[in-house]
Amino acid sequence: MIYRNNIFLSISLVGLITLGLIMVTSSSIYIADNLTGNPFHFATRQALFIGVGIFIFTAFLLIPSSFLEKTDWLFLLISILLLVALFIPGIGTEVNGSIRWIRLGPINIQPAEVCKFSMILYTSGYCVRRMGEISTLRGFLKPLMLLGLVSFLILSQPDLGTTAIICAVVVAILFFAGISFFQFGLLILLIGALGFIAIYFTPFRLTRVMSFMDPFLVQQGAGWQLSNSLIGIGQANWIGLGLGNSFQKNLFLPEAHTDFIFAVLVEELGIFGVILLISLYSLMIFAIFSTAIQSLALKRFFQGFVAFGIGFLISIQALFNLAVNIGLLPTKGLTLPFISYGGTSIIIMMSFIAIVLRINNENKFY
Amino acid sequence: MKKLNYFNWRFFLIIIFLIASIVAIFTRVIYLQIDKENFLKNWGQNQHIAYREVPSIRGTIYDRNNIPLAISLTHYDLYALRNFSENDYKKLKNIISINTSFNEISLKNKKILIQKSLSPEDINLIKDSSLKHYEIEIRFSRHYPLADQIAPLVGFSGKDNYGLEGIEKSYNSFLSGKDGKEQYYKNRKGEIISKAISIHAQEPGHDLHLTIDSNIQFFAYKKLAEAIEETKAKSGTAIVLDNSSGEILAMASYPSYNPNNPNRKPQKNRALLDKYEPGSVLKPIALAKAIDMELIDITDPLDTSPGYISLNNYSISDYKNHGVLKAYEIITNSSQVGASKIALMLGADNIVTTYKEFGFSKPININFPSPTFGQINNRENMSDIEIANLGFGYGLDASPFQIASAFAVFANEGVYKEFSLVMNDEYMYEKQVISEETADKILFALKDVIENGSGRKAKVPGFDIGGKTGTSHKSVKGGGYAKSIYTASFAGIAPLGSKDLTIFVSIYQPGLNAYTGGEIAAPLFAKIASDTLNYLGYFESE
Repeated sequence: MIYRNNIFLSISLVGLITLGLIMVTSSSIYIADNLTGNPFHFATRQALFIGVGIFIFTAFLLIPSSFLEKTDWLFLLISILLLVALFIPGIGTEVNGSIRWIRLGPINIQPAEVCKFSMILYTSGYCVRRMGEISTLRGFLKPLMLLGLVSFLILSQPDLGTTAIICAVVVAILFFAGISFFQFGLLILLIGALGFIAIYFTPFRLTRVMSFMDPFLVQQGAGWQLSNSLIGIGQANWIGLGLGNSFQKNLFLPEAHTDFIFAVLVEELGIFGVILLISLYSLMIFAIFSTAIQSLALKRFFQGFVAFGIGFLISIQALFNLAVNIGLLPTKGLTLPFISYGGTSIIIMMSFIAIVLRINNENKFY
Repeated sequence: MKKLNYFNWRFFLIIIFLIASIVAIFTRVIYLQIDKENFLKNWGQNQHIAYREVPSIRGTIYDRNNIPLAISLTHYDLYALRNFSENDYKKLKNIISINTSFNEISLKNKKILIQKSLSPEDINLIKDSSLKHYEIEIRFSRHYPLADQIAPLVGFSGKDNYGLEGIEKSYNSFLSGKDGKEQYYKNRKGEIISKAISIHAQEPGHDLHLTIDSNIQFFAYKKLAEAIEETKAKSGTAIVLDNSSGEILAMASYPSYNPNNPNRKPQKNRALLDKYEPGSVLKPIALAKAIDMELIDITDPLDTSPGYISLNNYSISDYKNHGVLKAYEIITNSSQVGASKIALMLGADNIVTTYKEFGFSKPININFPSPTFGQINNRENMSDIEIANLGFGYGLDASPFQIASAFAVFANEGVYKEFSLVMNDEYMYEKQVISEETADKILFALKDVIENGSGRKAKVPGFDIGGKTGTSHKSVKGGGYAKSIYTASFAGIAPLGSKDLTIFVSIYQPGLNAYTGGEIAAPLFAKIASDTLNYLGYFESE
């Protein structure tokens, strides 16, 4: 079973990263040409990120999971500091009206992505440490306050998508670790209410939600992204227009290589491409969850929760992204794991898989 | 391997949630493929596909010797597209010399003309360069090599290559081709990102071959223009017909205009659009019919004394008492009294029918914008004075072209022909209206006009010709005739041996004391006939 998980994880990881690099190359070619004059600008950079990712991937393979359990607070501290650093003028880089990046020489770091990582580690560690009191109100409130702080920091970038993902993952881990149904319901209600407030009192989010209802009504305005994503998907049929033949990537679809890369993928590879993508994800999630269950069975609770959190994060982020692309959810700035262009995103995702692989292989010795 | 005992209901719920989400997403993707009425696909195509017209070239108008009368010139114009930058401008300036400054180009959101009519070298230089954001567009313009010589006939077409005047207008659908259509893909900025796909190719227009001989046209126009300037007349026309083939060799009209000038002021085609009462020039027609009906023969005597005749309280008079004239001498001396008596001899019905058979009051078979064809007085119970009037060419009006066509009957051995303007015209009406002998007899009379009568000045040295002068008063509104406004005309056939050409000239409202057909139209006829006969290679008969 360990062997099988290794195989599945490796196949799905290599498959997704390859598919991602191909799609980034294809979808960014005109955008890159238009912005920089080099059509392979984003493709080369993505290849470079993957190269860096392989080093970090290897590093996490070598780190014992018990070390992560001991230092989870450190990761959390770093990521909160990074999030706070965004508020310092001159450090945060503004892109499209939101401050999400920290520029360190040639590298841009997205603290919110790092935060996903540390929140999974910390929540899992907390659940293990307070296994007994997790279903009580006090034990439940502590991680909630932390979540509130992190959410506040990320929301002020503003980045509702990542906030929602982190909330979802934390709640899922807590739920998995054994909070009561009442707590769970309360949590969902609370987050839902906060989400409503965040949307309703922020004009640009409200227009996004309104345009999501009928993107073609406001096609030239707020509905532009979603309508063009739908147009692209609508051209596809079973086999798509063929790799490289997307029309929508000709500057019609903004963010064709990041948030809306799925639309280009469907347009070029068709429903078969969707099946391929979902199969690769399913294979990966299956292996991760299998590792999680196995760890729990071995009483390695931290490892189990971490693996579960990672699996849930990847699946929920992928599902959110797809749902946005096909118009089931309003537009949010969420990347498609392993596929979308973005350095921090791909490196964090690769680290996740490295951690799961490490946990899986550690299970051999228990 | 240990048993999976942690597979609890919480985990199960999460798995269910994930699987349900995947199913929902997959269903939605499928649903978007079968969207109703192809909404997304159509919207996409509207966004991606653009069409472009491919202009078609207009046909050339040639004369009978394939000399172009109207040709389309192809120009290549350079346009700047929306995001033409200052950098592009500098690049362009290094390649070719341009007159436009960058400030004139840098208007946004539009296609701006940079340079008209690029040379082929410039086009190659631009195409080989790395220049972007430009477009070279084909434009056609119309050029008329003969300019004012034939402008009232050929007309012109406008900027959009649509015929506005003359042949260009009446043959517009024949001359204009069908514009082609091309489809191509564009990106969001509207830049073309694919090769053009031809939806339907452009079809060039047809070429039109006129029966006009541009040399004869030149003689006719030049001599006509000179004569009109000399006589201080208002306008005039000269027509040269080829009798045997039934073709129009020249149709000059003055004043004219230069169709190549964009500020042209069109002048009408006097040969086809003017109409007036022809006057004496028609006298031979009544006589021909009388001879044909054997009411009188060409040498039979007819008494015209005392030089006038009173009909219905109107008096018709000759300028002198000719006494007893032989029938042909009525033509020679252009006797009003003689012509009146011939007309009365024929009677109203016969004379009206005859004119109709000679083509008067009938639409002409020439495709020209709104040509005129005149009317004839044919009411019931015509009075004698009205019949007499018809005898010497009043009581009906006609265009110069109709008069010329009617005159050609005498050259064509009594056959009335419709003359054509376009080579190889399929159907042209022909009818024997008087006998061949009668036609010959009239030719004899017409020759006498030149030898001894009012047409002496029409004599062309070295050639036998025949013809008839005409001087008609201009009719004015309210009835009666304006005293001082005349149209001087001359219709002739040359040379009499082969009877090949009918030439008709008319000069409207001459400004000097000399105003009669014999004095001003006959010399013009002689000049045109002389040039034309020499050009066509006729040998002088002496």
